[in-house]
Amino acid sequence: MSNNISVKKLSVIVPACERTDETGMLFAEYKAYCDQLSNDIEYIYVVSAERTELTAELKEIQAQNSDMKLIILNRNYGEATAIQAGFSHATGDYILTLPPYKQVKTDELSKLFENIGDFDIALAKRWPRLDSKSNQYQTRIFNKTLQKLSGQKYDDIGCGVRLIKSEVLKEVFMYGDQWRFLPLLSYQIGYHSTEIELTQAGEDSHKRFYSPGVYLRRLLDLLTIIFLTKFNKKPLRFFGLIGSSSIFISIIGLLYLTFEKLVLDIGMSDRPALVLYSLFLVLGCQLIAIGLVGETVIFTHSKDLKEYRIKKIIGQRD
Amino acid sequence: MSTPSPTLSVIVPLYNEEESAMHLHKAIHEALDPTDIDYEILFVDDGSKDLTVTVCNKLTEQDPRLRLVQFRRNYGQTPAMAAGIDNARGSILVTMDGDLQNDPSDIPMMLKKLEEGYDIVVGWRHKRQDKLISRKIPSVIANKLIGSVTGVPIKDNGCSLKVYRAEIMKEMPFYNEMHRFIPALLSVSGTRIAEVKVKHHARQFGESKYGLSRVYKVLLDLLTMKTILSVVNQPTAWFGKLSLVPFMISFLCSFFLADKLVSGDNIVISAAITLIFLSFGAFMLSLGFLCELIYQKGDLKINRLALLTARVLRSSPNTNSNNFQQEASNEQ
Repeated sequence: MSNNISVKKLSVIVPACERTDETGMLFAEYKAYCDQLSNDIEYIYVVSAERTELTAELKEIQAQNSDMKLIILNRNYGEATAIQAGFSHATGDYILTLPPYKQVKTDELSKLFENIGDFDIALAKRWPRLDSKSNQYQTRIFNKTLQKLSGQKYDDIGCGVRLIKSEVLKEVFMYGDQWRFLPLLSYQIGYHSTEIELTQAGEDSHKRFYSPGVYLRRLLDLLTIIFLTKFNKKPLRFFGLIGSSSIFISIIGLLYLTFEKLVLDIGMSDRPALVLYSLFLVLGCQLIAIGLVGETVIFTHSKDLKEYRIKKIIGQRD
Repeated sequence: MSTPSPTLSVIVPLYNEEESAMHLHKAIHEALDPTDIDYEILFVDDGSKDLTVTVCNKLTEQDPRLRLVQFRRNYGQTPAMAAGIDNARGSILVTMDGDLQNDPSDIPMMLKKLEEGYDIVVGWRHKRQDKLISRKIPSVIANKLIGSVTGVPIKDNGCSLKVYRAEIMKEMPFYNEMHRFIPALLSVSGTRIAEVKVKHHARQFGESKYGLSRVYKVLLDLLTMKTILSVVNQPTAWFGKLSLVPFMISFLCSFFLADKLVSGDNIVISAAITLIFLSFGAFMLSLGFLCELIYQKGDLKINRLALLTARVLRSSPNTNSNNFQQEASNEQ
């Protein structure tokens, strides 16, 4: 199997942040399989010190495995920060990230290596799926919304199984809960992703319903990422769109009130509608003004904001 | 032969220009080889999906003056120009379109103009070979508007053929779609701008890459330009000026309010409107102070830019190698 895989050194990073299942058993399973993938392999677990039991368990595992590093963060900073922390101690050319619970069948992981080709990131897509329709719908809705807003198509961006060239993680900047949006953030700096179908693990198929707060957080994350990737250097395009629609509503409203005043002789100054439309007007102008302040920030700090990424320069050298 | 530090860098962004690239390369050589200028050519491939890179690769093998900067993906015209500017080694820069609409034979004439003591020479396509309704008329309106808003009356902001002194251009922030506003942008640093008539050819290959849909974007960009130009000069003043409008409205409404108070009518609506605009004015004013803070913490400093275009007159013989600058300063 390892014949057709040309990975010199592989680092496996597992961010043990949120949900975790049977860590010890899972590590043994991951290790048994991944050891065949590369001759030179290291395992990096990142855990938050707040999870005392888990930390103790991982410490024990680490003591028995010389090829495993354990990084203990003092608090839970989110998966993206955990991955970055793990990466800063990784030495591999390729990074394989695995979730601390089973998402895909472990023995299909080699597909990622076989199919990454010239891409910089291979994302696992859980397919065929074994879990309930409601879980699948959640995934579908989230990914479709993302596609609508960002214009980039991913089928399963929530899957944490990813094979990444180490230069991508060196360059990309992510934090908090942005781990799932890695493909979007890295596309911005010119790295391309591909999705590869791996069979979903049976353990991943239990029904999932989160508290409303989780869904709200997801939605905010989504909007943040759209703002960061699409309107990165043009805040006014974003605020201007919302602001001018608000101004548009107010102008229509105010024109109507004027019409009523002039033609139907209904007094303007004692109507609550006037306050409403004035508020819309002011809100719109304020949003645009905030966009302009955003533009000022970009303009006066643009020295180190390079918009483009060069693949290579061909031709004369000095 | 080209040296590591040529005088002139010709920067051409290319996006899906497999047919034009070769012709353009030839035309640049034909225009510049008869002159004794030491020049280099920088092609910037903006993530083309056709054979542009292959074509340019072949050209770089034959031509030591040519370099190709290849992007990882498509980023747009301004970033492509910015990449060219960042990687150029010449002390004078030329930018032009990659679609053969500009004619490189105008470059020597523009260089002469630059030597008269200007910092930037912009081309004006006075005989535009484009459709009247969809291209020319919007362009005239846009240029008039840009001129009156930014205070830099240029007849053709959309012409890519421009010649600049590298030190100024390399200092300027340049991103988004700012290539339409280069003269206005450079006016921040007190740049001397000249406009000369250049040739314009109709598109020979491929499709035009613009549409009418950019009107809205240009309007927003114009508002941005106005703001950043004002903020760089006087951070608080621009928002201060803007806040006058709501303050005035609030002031006027307060008369209605007073009137209602005297007559004993219901005052709620007029009071609310007075207060809404009063708070809006205060909001705008505080944004002005915020901008002052942003500008102070930023890395763009008007003092540094001012020195770039300043002329220093000294009585002792100057060792400055930049001859034309010397002559120009003597004239003044």
